[in-house]
Amino acid sequence: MDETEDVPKDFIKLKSAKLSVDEVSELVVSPYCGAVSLFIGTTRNNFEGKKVIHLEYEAYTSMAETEIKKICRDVRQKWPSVKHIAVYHRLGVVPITEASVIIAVSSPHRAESLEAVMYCINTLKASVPIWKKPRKPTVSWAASKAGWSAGHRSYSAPLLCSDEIPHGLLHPFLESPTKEGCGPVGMHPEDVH
Amino acid sequence: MRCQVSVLYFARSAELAGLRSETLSVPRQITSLQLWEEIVKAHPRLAVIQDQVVFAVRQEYVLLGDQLLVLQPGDEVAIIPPISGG
Repeated sequence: MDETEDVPKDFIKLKSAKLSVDEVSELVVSPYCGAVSLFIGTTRNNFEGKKVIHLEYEAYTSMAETEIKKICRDVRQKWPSVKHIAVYHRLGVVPITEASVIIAVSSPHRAESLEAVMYCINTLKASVPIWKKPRKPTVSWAASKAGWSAGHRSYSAPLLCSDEIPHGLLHPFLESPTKEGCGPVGMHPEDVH
Repeated sequence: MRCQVSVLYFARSAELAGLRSETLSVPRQITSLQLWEEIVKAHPRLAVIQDQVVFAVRQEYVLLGDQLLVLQPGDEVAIIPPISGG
């Protein structure tokens, strides 16, 4: 077989159009791989016990792409057999049940791509400069103060893009003994197992 | 010695400052906390999020504190409120 074919590739995109699971998973398919693992983060209809109509995402786009490239590089160091990685994140308004993020990873055997996908979404949530703002059904000044939601790293929580996010937020880069869940980027994938 | 840097505001910080980006003249050598204080002088409403933000200077995260920054003209400095992607 020609080993120069199917060079490992990273596919990274931030866009405002609707994401397609078919399109993203097709990107990573490879004849050398028996496994494609996928994570899809979708907009949930509630946040902090309140109803949500949609989420709105914004990004520091150039830095977000750079940080996602770093995640891909780290994945390849930790799981050298990983072939292709695709990370697509939607920006702007994402209605309920639609995908805000799709991550796809291919590898010859399933363990590596499954672990790598988990690592990708966990690290993305901790290190990539993207923000979500929930839009609630009735607009009031009190509600609008809640504004931008804060990221919270939690390995025990379900890996949905709209995790319960505590107030008084934890910035992933602030380390304080009184706060939980913060820490340097991209650490401890083994905590997940 | 001062230089012009691009300051970018995101999420809550953009709402409080009332803008997304601007050029500011700042000392070339300055600690990250001092840089924050310069920015708050220009946009006092930002003071309420001081405990929650970090900077990204030339796209590297920097905590607010004693870290000495050496800035070049045209450098990008971004205010990064707690992130919530994914």
